[in-house]
Formats: sequence, C-alpha cells, structure tokens
Amino acid sequence: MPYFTEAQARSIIRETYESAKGEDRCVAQALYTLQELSGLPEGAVMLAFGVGNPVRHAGLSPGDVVLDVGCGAGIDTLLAASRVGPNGRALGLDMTPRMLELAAHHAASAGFANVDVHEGLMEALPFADASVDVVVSNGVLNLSTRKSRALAEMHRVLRPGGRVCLADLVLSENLPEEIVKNPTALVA
Amino acid sequence: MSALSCAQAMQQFFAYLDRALAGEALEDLETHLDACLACCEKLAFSRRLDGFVKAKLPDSPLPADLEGRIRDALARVEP
Amino acid sequence: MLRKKFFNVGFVGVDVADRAPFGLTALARYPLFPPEFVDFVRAVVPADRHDTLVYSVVLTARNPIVREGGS
Repeated sequence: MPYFTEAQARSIIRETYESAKGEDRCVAQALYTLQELSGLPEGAVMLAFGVGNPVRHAGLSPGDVVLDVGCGAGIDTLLAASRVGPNGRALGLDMTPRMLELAAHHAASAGFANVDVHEGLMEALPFADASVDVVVSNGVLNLSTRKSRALAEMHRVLRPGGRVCLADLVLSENLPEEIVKNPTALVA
Repeated sequence: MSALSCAQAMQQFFAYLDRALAGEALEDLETHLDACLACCEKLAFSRRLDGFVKAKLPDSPLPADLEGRIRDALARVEP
Repeated sequence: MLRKKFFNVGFVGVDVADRAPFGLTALARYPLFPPEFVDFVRAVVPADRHDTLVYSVVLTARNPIVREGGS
C-alpha cells in the first residue's frame, strides 16, 4: 500500500514543481550532449529534471507524432520536436500549470511551431486511442501511485506498432524501511 | 476501493488480459499488481500463455474449462 | 519488475536501452529530494552502496501490430 494517497502525492509533486528553481545546468549536462543542448532555451535547460535521455533512444522520424508524458519545462519535448520536424508534432503533457506555461514559452522562443502542451494526468491521458506514434517519458513514472494504469494509458494512446521509450530510476535493492517511511521520501 | 488478496487477483487475470475489466474492479487489480511482485510475475506468465494459445488456436473456441485449469495451476505454483 | 509491468499492460519487445548508476550526489540536485532526505539516505545506507543503490534506466517497448485479446 502506498504511504501517501494519490491526491497527497500529486499535491506534493505539483507544489514542488510550482516552486522549483532551475539553479544550474548540472542535471542537463549530465544527461544531454552539448550538441543536443545547443539551440535550446536556457530556461528549458536549467529546469531539466529528468533522469535519462529517452529521446536519444526513441528512434524518432520526421513526421512522427510524439507525446512527452510529464514534460515539465519541455526539454525532451523540444528535442523531440526537432527530430520530428515540421510535419510531425511534439505533444507535451504535464499536470503542473507553471511547467506547462514554461514549456509553451520555451517552444515559442525556440521557434518550434509543432509543439502543443496539454494539462492532464498520466493515469488519464487526454488523448484518443492509437493517436500517437511514440511516447517518451523522463523520470515521471515513479511519481505515480498507479504505475500500471499510467503504463496502460501509454499503451492505449499509442497506435499499433507504436513505441514507448521511458527513462526512470530503479533501485538495485529494497530501501531500508526507515527511508520509505520518512515523510520527505515521497518518491521512494 | 478494496484490497485484493492474491487469490482474488488471480481470478481476474484473464478478464484483465481480455480488457474486460473496468471501473473499480480494474483499479483494484492494478493496485494489487503494483504492489505484489508475485502476482506481477504470475500475470506475465498468464499473458505469455494467453498469447501462445491465441496464436495456436485463433479460430477455434477455447475449451470451456481451460481458464479454470490454468488458474488452478497458478494457485499451486510457489511465488 | 518494471519490464514485467510493461509486458503486463500489453507491450512487446521490452528492452533496456540504457542503464547507469545514479549516485546520491545526483539525487541531491532534484527538487523532489530535499537535502534532509538525501542526508538521511546517506546515513542509513552503508557507504559502499551509495553509488549502486539507484540506477537510471531507459526502457523501450512496442505496441504489437495486431491488437491482442478480445473486444
């Protein structure tokens, strides 16, 4: 049983990201190459909070419709947008209004016309069945108290033959009980 | 929402795989699967088996008691 | 375990495209892991496991072309 209810977890996550400051490029520099980062708005880079580089492994082609689940300030959405080109679309989904505004702003300032942002939950994606070619996600699945549901939703919105490419953290062993019960340990 | 036992969860596997579960039943099963490693493994096995059977017998109806027999077999397997 | 979850919801060809250790120092850079929490983990977990406790993985998978199952 999760130690937080779904509503509590979401509320904590939303509050965290409503006030998150991008203080440096350390996260982004550890995950993305200089070439990948060049040309991206500073704000998107400073507010990158992913844990991997899913776009690199997603095999995106020009014309693809790609959905970034938990897009945050948009760094992966923008990388995806540049890969799918003007005939493709990069959809960014997030539940934190501030992050969505930033993602939209970053897309506009970088000159991407093929980006749309949507507010919603990964457990109830606001997209039709079989409507996207690729789903990417970076460090967000663990934030869900209903991972199977979130994965089922990704499966639902992907067209047959579509691909998912997801980055997240895994534990190599079970965490000691004290850590999981610690009040600051939401993600654990 | 109610907490399922492993036995209750297993009853629902084939319905889940056939996408016949919805609403609270679906939510209860997903919650159990998210928390129970043993059932997650057993569902993966059921899914493989389900896929194999459907591939081999695409046009014939499945034997009526097949699902029950598989469920019994799963219940006997150590987690 | 994560791979099985992918498989159970209907994905096929689940593959680990990348896997890398994700040290506790890295965790500290994220807003969801307050410094008190990271210090707490550091104190509770033996030092020789600090860098191998957490990994980042990239998983890829496909939707099958023929939708399986009924309905």
